[in-house]
Amino acid sequence: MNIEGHDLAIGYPDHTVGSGLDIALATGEVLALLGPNGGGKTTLLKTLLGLLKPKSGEVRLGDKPLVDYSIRDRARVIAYVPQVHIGTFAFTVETVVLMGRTAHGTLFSRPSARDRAVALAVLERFGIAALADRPYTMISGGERQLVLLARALAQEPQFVVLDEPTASLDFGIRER
Amino acid sequence: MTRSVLPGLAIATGVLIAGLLLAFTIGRYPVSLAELGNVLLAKLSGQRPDVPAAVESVILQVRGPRVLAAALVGAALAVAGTAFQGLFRNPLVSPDILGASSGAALGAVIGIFLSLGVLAIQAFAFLGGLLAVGAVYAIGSAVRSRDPILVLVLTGVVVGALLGAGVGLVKYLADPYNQLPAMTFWLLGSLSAANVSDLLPLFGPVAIGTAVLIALRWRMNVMSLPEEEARALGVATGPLRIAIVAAATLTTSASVATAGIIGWVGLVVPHLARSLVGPDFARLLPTAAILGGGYLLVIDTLARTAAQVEIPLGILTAVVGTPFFIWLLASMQRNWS
Repeated sequence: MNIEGHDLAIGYPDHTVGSGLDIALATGEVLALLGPNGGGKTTLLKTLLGLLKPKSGEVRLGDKPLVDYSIRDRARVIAYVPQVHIGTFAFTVETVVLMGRTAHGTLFSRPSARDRAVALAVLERFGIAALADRPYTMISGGERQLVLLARALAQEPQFVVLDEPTASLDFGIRER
Repeated sequence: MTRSVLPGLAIATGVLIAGLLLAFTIGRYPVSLAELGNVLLAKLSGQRPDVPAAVESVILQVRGPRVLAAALVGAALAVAGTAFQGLFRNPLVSPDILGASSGAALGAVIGIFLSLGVLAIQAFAFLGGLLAVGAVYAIGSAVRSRDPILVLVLTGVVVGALLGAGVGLVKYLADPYNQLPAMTFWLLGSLSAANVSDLLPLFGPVAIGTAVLIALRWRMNVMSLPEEEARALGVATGPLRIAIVAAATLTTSASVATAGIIGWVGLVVPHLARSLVGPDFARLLPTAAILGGGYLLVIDTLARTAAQVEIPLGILTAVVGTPFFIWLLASMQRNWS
């Protein structure tokens, strides 16, 4: 599957951050965006995620435009790892990772046994299964980053979009 | 969950049962537990209770409707507060954040000003609450912003202030001997006038609103994340927000229409419930409903019995709620578990 941006102009209603952008990625490829603060990296990522409408141009996912996907279908293809935040309520780490399974359920459903198995497997893969019952608000910044990564993988997407993914990780974990 | 679930729900249920027993037995006409058990069992089995007629009438006609109304109103306010705190990602939010109470207040004082009957006043209050929140939502959505939640809250504050001015105007114009005391009484909240005919108009909206919120329990967890994150996880935040606001407003408006304005319950009880079972809405909503019912039963029993005259509920909930909330702020700091 491919994600492509054609002749994108990105930005907010009151100002344009960048224009004339072309970008193409296939599943399994890795692309790192480097640039100064305020350069529009996050804006571009949010446009590719469909969280921000492009001011002109088009984002395509697979064989159709991104805007033709429902929010739920989109979330089954692209996952988002935001910059680390603390969160308002003290959900457990397991619950936070299970939230990655939301797009695989229906409007009224709770996570199924399979969802729990996926979440647990991802937690184990990151070596943080021991944190499962800890409140997300009470773990370190680096651990929160790993939890958000785990949540994105629990989403079982084709693409993962990461914003400042290593900002709060220590060097040992960055190497992995 | 490090806290285990069962004790939390058991504690809440214990509070509700204690509240029920207190509310039925304590009062100007004391009723013993044995008499209460006798009457309720006889009622269930369809036999004549083996107690004086006055006791039966106190339990079934006088206290029964009021007890049920108190439990329902407490549950409704607690559930609505829980929903709004999650939706606005802010533990300081209460059910009247979007103007439900001020709209209901304006509806009620207009009803009193027009010398309407009790049912009409309640209908005015109910519609006032729904209309106020509808207007806030429409205005909030019409304003283009990167932070729709903030715009919504600010619109609620502004519209609430305008409605408050409207209430002030009607009170100023009202007949100071008949209408003004009625308005003041209503604005302070009370269940003293609750009777059997109030129960169905209260139960219907509260049950519907609560059922919708409980059905959406998992999505509400995700909705308490930042807007863009929730959408990236596959939640259509716009329509879901409307559903949650509508359900919570339904329960709030119905309870305000029955009992007048009772603050603090919707702010304090969700915190208590969260400290019992954690923030997952699947457990939090039922716990908050049960605990809210018990809490208001205790408060209402105090309101009936603490002094020679009835103390308005709104005053008691504030007297109990304010120190509690300050203690909460001091002890929990940034962790709102």
